Amino acid sequence: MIPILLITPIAAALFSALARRTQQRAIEYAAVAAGAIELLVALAIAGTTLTGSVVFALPLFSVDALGAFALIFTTLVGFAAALHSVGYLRQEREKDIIGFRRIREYYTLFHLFFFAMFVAATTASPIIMWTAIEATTLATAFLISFYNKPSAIEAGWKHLIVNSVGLLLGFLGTLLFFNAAASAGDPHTFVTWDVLRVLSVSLDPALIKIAFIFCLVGYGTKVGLVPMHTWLPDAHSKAPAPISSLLSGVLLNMALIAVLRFRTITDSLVDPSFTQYLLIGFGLVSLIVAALIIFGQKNYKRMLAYSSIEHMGLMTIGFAVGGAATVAALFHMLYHALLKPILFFCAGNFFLKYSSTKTLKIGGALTLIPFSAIAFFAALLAVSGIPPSGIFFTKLSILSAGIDAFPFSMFLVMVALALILTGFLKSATSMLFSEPPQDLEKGEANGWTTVSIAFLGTLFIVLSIYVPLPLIALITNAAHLLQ
Amino acid sequence: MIFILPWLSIFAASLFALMLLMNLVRKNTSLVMLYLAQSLMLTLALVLLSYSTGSTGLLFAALLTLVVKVVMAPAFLLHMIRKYHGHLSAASRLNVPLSLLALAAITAFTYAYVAPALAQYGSSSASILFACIFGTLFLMTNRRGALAEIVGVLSLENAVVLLAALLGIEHSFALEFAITFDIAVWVAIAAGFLTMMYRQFGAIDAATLEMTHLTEEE
Repeated sequence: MIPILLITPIAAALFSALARRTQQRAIEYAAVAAGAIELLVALAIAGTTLTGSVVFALPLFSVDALGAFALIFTTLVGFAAALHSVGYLRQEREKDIIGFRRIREYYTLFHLFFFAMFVAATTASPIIMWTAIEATTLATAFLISFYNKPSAIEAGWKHLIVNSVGLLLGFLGTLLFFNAAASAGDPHTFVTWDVLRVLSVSLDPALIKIAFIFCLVGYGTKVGLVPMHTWLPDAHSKAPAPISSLLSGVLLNMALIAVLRFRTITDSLVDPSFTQYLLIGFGLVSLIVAALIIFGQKNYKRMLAYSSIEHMGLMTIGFAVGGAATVAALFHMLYHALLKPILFFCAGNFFLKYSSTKTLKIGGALTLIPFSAIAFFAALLAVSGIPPSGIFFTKLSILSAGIDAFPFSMFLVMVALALILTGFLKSATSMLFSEPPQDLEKGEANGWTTVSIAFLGTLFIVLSIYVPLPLIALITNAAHLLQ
Repeated sequence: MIFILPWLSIFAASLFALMLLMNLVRKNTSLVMLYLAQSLMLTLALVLLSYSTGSTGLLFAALLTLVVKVVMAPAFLLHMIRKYHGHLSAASRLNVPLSLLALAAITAFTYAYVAPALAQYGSSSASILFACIFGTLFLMTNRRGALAEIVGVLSLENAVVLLAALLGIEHSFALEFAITFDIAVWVAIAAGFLTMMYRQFGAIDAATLEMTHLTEEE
């Protein structure tokens, strides 16, 4: 199954790259079909890991419960983004903002991004995972600067440089882990996560501490943890909406999973409070900085970008607290991966209608594009943790698990969350309920831009009310791997 | 292995010295030539390590380094400099004396805090490479030119690769190929961005980008 997962995006990328001008529809349908196939294969792989077993393929690839969980949210977001991209790009082409060559470039890079993500989720080797995550930087750099405007080029450049430096530091940390493993065991052994785990008892604690700090700072840059977050708001706000959704719903989570895998190895060797304090520190600072900026934010796409930093911070805190909070943080990862693309898709629909990302320029959205406006408002409330949203329960679980050991930190988290909700409501009311401009016609761009929102929205509502037993088993197994 | 350790220390020190020079030169062409020299040192170090350990993986790594980092990347960057008239780079944030002071502080910090943890791995060479890594990060922070940032990333990668080889980490050829291919693609993408920057701003200077356009209306 893993080879199918890896071949599908490569085949779709090749098809897109070689397509002729008359084949735009074929590229679009290929993207949707590839998304559907990838989703089905991911579900099949996840099914086989429910009993705690690992799926092997080729010497370098194996999928455990955590990898299968990552595949699930990656393919869900990927399928929805493929649907949304069709409508979004058609609309941009109708306005003569982009031509066929840009569309072809978009889909080629889109599929290459997924290929890199699938490699990162399925590989057994930390170094291959590093290479795959670095490859996503390369695939997304031109997608972020897609509109070729000065600000988009700046955002793409910043993304490229900041992430490359960050990932090189992560590479250094990974190599230090490798070196410690080579010293402890056979130097010719191919180092996998399992080998690192087995050898962890005999690694050098001082070196592993340094290695973990490099990994945290390196992959933390990709996660968007403050102060390494500087690329994230620019990239999310300048990229086309479907790409912003991939960055937020897939890439950040995958990088966080990389940090967590290194953390489990570090914790088995040194006092767990070492990584716990580091993660809580970075998570808390990220949450507070994001809250302060969201409160005064005047650009709705940047507001959503800072919201991603906030959620990454909260998940980091959850994983640091451990125990029940780990399960809650994994559920939070899934819910956030479903909700944030909805918000970015709606933001994309606002942009298609109003041609602006400034909050003040969006007036009367409820009148002009009611479906997107209602979905945006509902998703904002859900992502803020208003019940019965699943995020309410995950936030509550993280806070209640951490309140005994870290009461002051949890108090700060609650204050930050309240500030964020206020900031969201301030922006949303201005965008939705003010007077609409006279020169704009009522109506959504097209069906594709609403069906993607409906798909993820329905899934989120269902999973907030009822969590199927197989999903609980998968997340519980994944949580075991992180403890 | 014992007899090559002094040589490895010399190569590590050369990388460090070239990093210091990178922080001091003002011309982009000099910066690229220094990077070329640094990559050549890395290639020689990898050949030496391959000879002493009998590792064919390291020999392939040396060959790839020679092709990609000594020949292709510098040639590509020099072509970009000629094409876009970027011979002079933008000013640095700190002047030369202050930059040297900062680099001295970075080196002292490395020896005080990182070196003790690396004692069992031949601390002097490893520590000097760590100082090289931090010094390269300083180069990227201190200099505004886009080309300095590109050379900074590539130089950082040089130091990391030599450190990995020095620490005795075995890589398969496929893995080395993947990493070097990654670097080659990275250079091509960075060059693509230089072209876009020149078309939009008329210069390949990252200073022209700084927070001037992200607030623009759309």
